Amino acid sequence: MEDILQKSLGCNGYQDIRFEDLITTSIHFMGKHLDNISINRQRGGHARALLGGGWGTFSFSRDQDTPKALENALQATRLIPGTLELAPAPVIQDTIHVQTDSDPRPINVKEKKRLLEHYNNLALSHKDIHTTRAVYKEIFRKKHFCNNEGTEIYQEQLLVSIQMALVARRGNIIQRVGLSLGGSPHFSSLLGQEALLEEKIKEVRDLVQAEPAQAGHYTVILDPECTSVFVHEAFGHLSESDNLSNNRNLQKVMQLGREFGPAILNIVDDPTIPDVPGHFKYDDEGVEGTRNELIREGKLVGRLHSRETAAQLGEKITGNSRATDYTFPPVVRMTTTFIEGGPHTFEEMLAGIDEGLYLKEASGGQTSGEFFTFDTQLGYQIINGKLGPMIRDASLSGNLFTTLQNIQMIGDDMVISKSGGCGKANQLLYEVGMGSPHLKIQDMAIGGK
Amino acid sequence: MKNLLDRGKKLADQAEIHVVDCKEIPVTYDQNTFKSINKKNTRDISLRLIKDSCLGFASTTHLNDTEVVDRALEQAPFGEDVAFDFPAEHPAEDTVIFDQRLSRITEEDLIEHIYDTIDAVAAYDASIPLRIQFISREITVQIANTNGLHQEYKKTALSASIYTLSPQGFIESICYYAAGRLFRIPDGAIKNLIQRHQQAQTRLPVPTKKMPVIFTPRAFGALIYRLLEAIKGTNLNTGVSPLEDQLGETIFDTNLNLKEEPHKPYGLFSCPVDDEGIPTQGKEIITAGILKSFLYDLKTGTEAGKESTGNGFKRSLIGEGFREPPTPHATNLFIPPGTRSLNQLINQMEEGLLVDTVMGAHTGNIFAGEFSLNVGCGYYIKNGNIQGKAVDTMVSGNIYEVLQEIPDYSSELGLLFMFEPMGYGPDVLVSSVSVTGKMNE
Repeated sequence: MEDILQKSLGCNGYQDIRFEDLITTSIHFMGKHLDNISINRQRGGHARALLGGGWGTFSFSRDQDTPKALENALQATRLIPGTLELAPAPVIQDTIHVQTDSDPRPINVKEKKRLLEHYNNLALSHKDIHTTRAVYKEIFRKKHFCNNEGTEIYQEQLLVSIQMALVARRGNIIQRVGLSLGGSPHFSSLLGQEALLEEKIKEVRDLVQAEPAQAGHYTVILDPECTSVFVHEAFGHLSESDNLSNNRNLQKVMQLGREFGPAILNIVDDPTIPDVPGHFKYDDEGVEGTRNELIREGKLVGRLHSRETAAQLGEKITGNSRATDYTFPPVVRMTTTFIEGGPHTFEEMLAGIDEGLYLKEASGGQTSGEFFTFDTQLGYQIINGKLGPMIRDASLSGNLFTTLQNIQMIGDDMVISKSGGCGKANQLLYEVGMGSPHLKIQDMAIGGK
Repeated sequence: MKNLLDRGKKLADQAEIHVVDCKEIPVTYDQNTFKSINKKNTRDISLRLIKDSCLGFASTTHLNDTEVVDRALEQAPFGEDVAFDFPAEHPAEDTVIFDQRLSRITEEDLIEHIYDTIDAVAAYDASIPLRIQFISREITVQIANTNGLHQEYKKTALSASIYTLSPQGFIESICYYAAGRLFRIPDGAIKNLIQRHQQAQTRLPVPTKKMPVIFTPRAFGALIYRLLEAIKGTNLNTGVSPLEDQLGETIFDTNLNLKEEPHKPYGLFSCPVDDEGIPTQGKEIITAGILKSFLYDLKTGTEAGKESTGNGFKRSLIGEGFREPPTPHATNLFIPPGTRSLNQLINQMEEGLLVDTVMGAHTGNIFAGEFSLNVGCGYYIKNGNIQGKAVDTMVSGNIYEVLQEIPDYSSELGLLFMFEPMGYGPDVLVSSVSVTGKMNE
């Protein structure tokens, strides 16, 4: 198959082909019931061609479509002439195998199910846990990439994780707290996490007794998980250059050197950190992923690129062109995006807040570029510099530019999250990660009751 | 297909195979240039087996990948216990969802459609930067099982999204059109897009208080989504739905009606059978505020001691759901329109908000009906007129509280949305919603 693809590469303009073989194992529990086990295999390819104008691409899974895949892509790009160019990229020939000392693939499904069931039963054995949702997911990708410049890459990626949601209920109040394990290629990273689970069980038990957050504007402290979602939604997406490559006005807004936040703020995107969801070697156009500083001492110093956007903005390639699988063209996306640890302790952050909120447990967010929003499920009031009663259902929203300026303190406790995932451009990609320390922001809009 | 079914029958008690072929042509235009044509021609195959009352599931992309049967079989012994059989064939209602002309559409035609759209906008204002995407899609679905069922249908769809961009380059106003057949975007829709774009050039903070809110169908889908999650068998059977004992009870304003119309000609989610081969059924979900139906597939229906309601679909919120077993989902939803136009509703409002797009629809305590939505495209209304775009604004509440008072609906129908379209409805006026803004009063 790969040979057929490679042979069909021609010398007209730019042409590339990805061929992917993906095996996904999922096990789902809902409450005490096993909801499903599925083992899915997808094989298919994606051909791209560029003859100066717009991209012509063709996704396919049927074998008979393979030989004419590039022809289809070429026919499409011919219809949309123009002057698009790609930034030059080194020609690479490389083979990357999964590195793991605890490979989940040879372990049989029965044992994986037993592990998930163990955690699930542990949660359900607490009488206050109303129900659960528990998901084991193992994604193994074999990806071939070649282009007509001579690059040929074979790359494997493996990600194994357990995600749990613990639900408690008091009358009509139903609350949920999440737990993520793994996020690496090692099965061993899923083992021995009972203490963490017990901690989460206690949180959700308390949460149904908590009052909802009152809407208003507060000084808030976000825990590392919330800060991670914040940096992903509020800043990360805007650093993806496909938003601004064709947009002179936004380019002015996003000028390098512009001050985005206080001098203690440093934001980095780094796919080279191993054993976290956002780790990989080469992106889906054969460019090596690199550590990129996005904000240094409060100033915008970099952004994420594909070869196309790097050429349009006259900047260096970064290796961020990524697709969920062969059914999609690659788009510019984050890898592991995080705020670097700062100088402040949690106690220093609490001090001086007369009335504020400490928010934990992010539950998803979204951005429109300029505005972002995300929900938290659990938090605490801060009263006169001390943590007060627990609160629930606070959601944050704001304008990216003003919110980054409102950052007051950055914690010294950076952690990279075990869970990842992002649904940009309708492409749900699990291998997008995030991290951060605690963060203190003033004048944050909180929606609640 | 037969080879997989035969192999499944030989190795297990029952087998079911579901094949979806998808042909798609998206053409994307972004501010003076065509960005891309991303053609797609893919196949997805999923297989379910029942052996000794245990269910196995696996999927593949190739009919000659007979190992898919072994993968499903491998997990069946410790798979879930099921009490249902794959269904025998029942006659399904003829559903008109295939448009010959649309099935022949080419990328050249779609490029023409985009040029026409650019001209239509330019007739009002040629200076507004635009992003436009047209997508044509043709899907062939086949479902067969070892109990004699074989269902097959083809459907077509066309969608058009037009975005105007703000001076800063962010999305300012949106026009989205989609149907199961070829269409021309009506001039009224373009006119409306331009009007909203112009209104958005004035940006206003709004006060923090409870006020009446008009949700366009695009935004109202986020509220309906919370109801749909609560009436799905999956969530009823696990006790996370607050509606488990509310069937036949009045849960909303008596002015609220919501139906499911799976046989509407060329409806986006119209189909004769669900993904388990069971005929779809038109049904009332909310009638005069009373909860009338729950949504079940084979599995959750059987668990609840009921029949499947023909709502077993492989669908997920983001992306495609082919690779997981079916769960209950609604087909075409329909909320009947009112008699007055959206403009009349606006004109009669002393102070309020028109909300057209929201962010964060998938987050928060969905089951409990809570919503806390950041307003993307929203407009502040004072003394019967739109004053400008509402910035830094959130709307929040609980659907079981705020939907107790719905004084009116507009006469215009649009698409209900939850990331993807989910059906049809009018603009909905809700009496009192908690709005958080940044205006100092």
